[in-house]
Amino acid sequence: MGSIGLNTGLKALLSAQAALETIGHNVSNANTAGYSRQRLELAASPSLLVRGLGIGSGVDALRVMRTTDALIQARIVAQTGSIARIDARLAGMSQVQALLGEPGEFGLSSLMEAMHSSYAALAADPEDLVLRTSAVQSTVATTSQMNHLATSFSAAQDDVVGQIRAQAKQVNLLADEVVRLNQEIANIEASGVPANDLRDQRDETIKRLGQYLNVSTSEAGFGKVVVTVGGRLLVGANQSYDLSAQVSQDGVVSLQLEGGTQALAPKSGSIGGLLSFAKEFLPQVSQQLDGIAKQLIFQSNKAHSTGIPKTGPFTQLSALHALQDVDGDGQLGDERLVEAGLPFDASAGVLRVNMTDSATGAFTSHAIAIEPDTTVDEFLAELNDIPHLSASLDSYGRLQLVSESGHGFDFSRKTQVAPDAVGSFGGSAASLGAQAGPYQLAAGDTLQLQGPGGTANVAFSVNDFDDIGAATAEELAAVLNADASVQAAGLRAEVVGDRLVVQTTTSGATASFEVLGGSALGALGIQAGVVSGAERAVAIEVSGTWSGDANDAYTFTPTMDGVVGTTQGLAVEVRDSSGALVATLDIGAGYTPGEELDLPNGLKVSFGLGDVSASHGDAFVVEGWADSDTSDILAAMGLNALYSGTTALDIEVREDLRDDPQLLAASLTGAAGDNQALLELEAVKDLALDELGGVTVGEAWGDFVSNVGFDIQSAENARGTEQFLLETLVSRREEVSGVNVDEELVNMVRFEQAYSAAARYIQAVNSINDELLRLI
Amino acid sequence: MNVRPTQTTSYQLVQSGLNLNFAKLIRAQEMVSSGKRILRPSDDPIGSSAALALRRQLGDVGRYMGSVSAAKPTLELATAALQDASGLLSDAKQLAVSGMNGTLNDADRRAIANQLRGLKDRLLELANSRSGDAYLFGGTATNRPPFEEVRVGGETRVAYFGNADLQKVAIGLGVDLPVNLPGDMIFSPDQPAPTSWSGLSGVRAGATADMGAGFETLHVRHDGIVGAPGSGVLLVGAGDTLLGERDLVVDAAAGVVRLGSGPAKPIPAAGSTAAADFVVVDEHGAEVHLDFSAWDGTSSTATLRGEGSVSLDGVDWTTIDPAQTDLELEDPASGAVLHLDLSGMVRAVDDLATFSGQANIFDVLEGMAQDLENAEGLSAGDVQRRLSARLVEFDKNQDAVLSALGTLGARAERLLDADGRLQDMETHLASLLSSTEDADLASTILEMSKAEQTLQLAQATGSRLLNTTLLDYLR
Repeated sequence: MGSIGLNTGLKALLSAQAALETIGHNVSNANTAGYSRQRLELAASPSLLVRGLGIGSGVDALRVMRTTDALIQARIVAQTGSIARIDARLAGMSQVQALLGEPGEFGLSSLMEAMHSSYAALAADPEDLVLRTSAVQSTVATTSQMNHLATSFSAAQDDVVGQIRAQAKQVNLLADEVVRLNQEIANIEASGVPANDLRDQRDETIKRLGQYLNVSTSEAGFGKVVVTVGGRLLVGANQSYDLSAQVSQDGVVSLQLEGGTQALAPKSGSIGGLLSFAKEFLPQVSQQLDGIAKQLIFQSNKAHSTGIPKTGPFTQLSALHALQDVDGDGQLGDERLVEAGLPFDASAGVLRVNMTDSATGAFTSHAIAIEPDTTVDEFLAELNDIPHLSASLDSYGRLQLVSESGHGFDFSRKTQVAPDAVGSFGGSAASLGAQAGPYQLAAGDTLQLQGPGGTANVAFSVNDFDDIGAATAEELAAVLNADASVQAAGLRAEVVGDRLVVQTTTSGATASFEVLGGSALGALGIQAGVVSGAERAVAIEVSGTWSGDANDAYTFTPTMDGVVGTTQGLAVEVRDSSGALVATLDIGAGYTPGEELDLPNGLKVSFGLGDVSASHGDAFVVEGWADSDTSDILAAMGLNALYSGTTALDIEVREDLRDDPQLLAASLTGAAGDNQALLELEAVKDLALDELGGVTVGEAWGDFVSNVGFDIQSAENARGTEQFLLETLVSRREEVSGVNVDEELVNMVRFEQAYSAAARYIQAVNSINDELLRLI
Repeated sequence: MNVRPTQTTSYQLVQSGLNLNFAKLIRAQEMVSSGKRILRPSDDPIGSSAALALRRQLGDVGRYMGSVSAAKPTLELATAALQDASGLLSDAKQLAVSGMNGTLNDADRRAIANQLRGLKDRLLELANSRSGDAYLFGGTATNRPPFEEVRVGGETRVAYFGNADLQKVAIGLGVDLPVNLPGDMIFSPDQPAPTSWSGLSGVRAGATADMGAGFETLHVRHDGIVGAPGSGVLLVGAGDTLLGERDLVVDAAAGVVRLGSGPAKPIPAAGSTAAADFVVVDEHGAEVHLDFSAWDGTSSTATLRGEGSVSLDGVDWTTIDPAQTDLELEDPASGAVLHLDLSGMVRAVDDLATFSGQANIFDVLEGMAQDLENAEGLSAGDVQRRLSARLVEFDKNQDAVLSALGTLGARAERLLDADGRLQDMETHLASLLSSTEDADLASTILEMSKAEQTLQLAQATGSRLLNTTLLDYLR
């Protein structure tokens, strides 16, 4: 009995001591992160058969176990990862938001307002140099802010890559730690002792890994775990795999896990957040900013390109953007102009080029039609066909325009003051106009004319026309002017609108020619007979600015033969390009030569004294230009541009214009006080643009800013929810694994008492034994 | 409900509660100290979008107001200049009317002419008024004086070097207001009408229309007389101005001589000084110089025909053919083209053609001054006829100035309206912006004290929670 009793007492003593030690361990680690409460597992020792009685032999301290819930632990790891992801994105987005500086007086919004106000101020006083400089400077301020934003965005991108690299390093350290812990746990547990604290450490390490990546774990036997990221091994049973970040040439960052070929795309964790910020948010805001910048550049350049600077028409201009050899055959000339790789979209349309004589100020206007299949060479040839202008491409493919000295060119929509340059309406040369073309000629049709210098005989051949059945006035004029007998006869052909006009090269009352006959007369709508010139040409002047919405051309024809201001009933019919009669002007008796008559769409016309003739087909054309570059080729090539560059990163006020504000094209007519181009530039802010989703540049910026705000706000809200979830999980974990000091104190008292009781028991056994010994 | 709370749970609870309340307090503090509800877009993305839109609209309104205030001084300067001009014209008109008074002598007329020239110079200064460096009345050609004196064929004219373009500013979306008035609309009436002749020489407008601006002087020269007076009366052959056929009647019985239907004049006594060069005048004022020294005392009736030439430039002369009813003459200097009906020519005297409604005020004033100086030595009646032709043009010009003043007045009124409207809009938008963007101080401060109170409560309860431990009771 004695040895059993003492042994039972000893086991009770030792168990109570072990329990107290476990309590001490728990209390010591009450604040240790990741610590799981441990408890001593006790079991009654098997009873011994003594004297036919099964007497218990005391208590056995089996093992110290940690109380843990693996499921909650895993969920905490996942939740920590979600929050870390949101935090990483939020940090980045808040930085972007702070960069925007909105709402505030240094935000782009305010700068653009200031820019437009400075345009308006200059429009009110276009001659003021200070206002002009301030208009340019406020534009520079806007572009600088855009540059600053774009640069900051790309710096943020670099930052993020740095952060990802640093965190990948951290992940690798933690993975190694897991490998080490795996090994130790396996070693310890091989001896049958649970490695509680090491397991806690490993859980904590995995939780820290979970802050960076979405990790999941699974048991691998011998107490080891493997850690995977998106199904790929980060930590195997015995080794870890290296995580690294790579940046491609175009700045796209990607994650690689050693041994894998595909890029790793972590869905959560701070690295996941940084990646999503770098690959989704930042590119998206950069793209939106670029979109806004691009439209500001293109639309402003469209308005600016057709204006005239204070220095007057240009003597030379260089395009900012180069044409590209898209098909790569080494030839630039064969590219289609509208698809020649320009950064902005040009389309089929018409470009007007005005050549001004610097001495007289008079100008001629040339319309260049740009078709979808017009090639670069054809376009250059058309430009070079304009007298006094030469066009070429530099070695980069940028268009260069130069005018001869004494001449200047511009692309303005200014009104042609003297529309009848040909002199086909009461002009002084003998002039005969055909009916409006195209003309239904037949092969072999002839025309015989008797000019001052002899007889001209022209026969028309099929080869001279695209379609001889619908011969255009241009084709006919080319045939006639190329004909030697026409030249020798002292005659020439001109084109007025879509009409052919035949004139003497000399002028005055003595100039005359006779239409002798020919089979083409019927198709041309002219009759045989003599046509004479006049001493005095009817002076025609147009004033005002075309206010119509689209380009149009008014053709003026007299209703009868007569003298301006004298002949009863003499009138001029005005038809638009569709042939509809838009006005009938009474220039007969009662009209004072030189008196201005109103035309539709803001124009006025006056007729000087002289003879006009309906029977000789007098006609002239006044062009109304609403847009002198409907093809947008000027803005696409960056000719007479306000901005250079194509994105928010490189948008700038054109360099020479920045240095010399006089080059700001405020005027459409070239007059010092004319502000029409400036008003058009100012109106760019009110244009609703399809490219921006049907809103103005300012509205697009407002949307952009509020979208960033929305993103941040929803991330903040999500973070609140996730945080609450984490707190709940943590408190659940605490409930299971946490150390309640009070509870431990209670247990301490309990085991203290158990110890005392065990000691007392030993004392009792001892005294029994003593009694027995005394008996001996 | 947590069934097994631990100390760590309570620490965390207290901590997150404190954080939450402290963050609320800081946010409220931020709103109070900045006065703004939205400091960054994420504070209220919808609100910040609305605020940006309102700021854009406010920017527009500010821009329009800027244009209005920039246009105002220009319009005021123009109005002031035109009011001065209008006053000058009233003075000029009084002078011109007084110049028509037949009792004035040459010196008086010259004095008036000088005054008129002075007024013209002053008017020219007004027409070339500037606002800053920009000329007010040159259309959009604001960098050079719009009106300058030029010499045209030996005459001083004032020409317009501006253009007819309007300089507009935007005072609303799609609302433009012109701030300038081209000078040719103010100082030239531009109401073309057929040519009118002062008619001293009997020339009339031909059938074909004319072309030109201002005034043209038609020089008419007497070349000689065909036919001889009877009764031994001789032609002196100098100083005659007769054109066309007229009867010369020498009435010995009454002792008078008479040309056409002109006044009968007593025949001078033989031997008197007047007899050698005696002037008879017909009803049109055409003169014939007669020598009565060899008069034989009889009565006679003879037909005299005066011949002459006309010219616009005084260089190129065309012989008068009474059958010519549509003679075309061109002044190479001014480019004016006139068609003349010569059938009624009666007298060789410089005639004045007016391109009615197309003479600028400067040329009218200059013409009046020249008329009054009367270098050609016209009779008082002729001067009056010329002056009254000029006065018709003067009145048209005065009307043009007055109507320009009216236009400016209407614009000033539009500007005033726009200003008021824009100010209303600005107030309205600013209050909208404020309600979107600004913090409501009362409720924010209430929020703030609420957050403060909650924080204090959390601190108090937290400290009590953290202080409870069984240790306190274990001895």
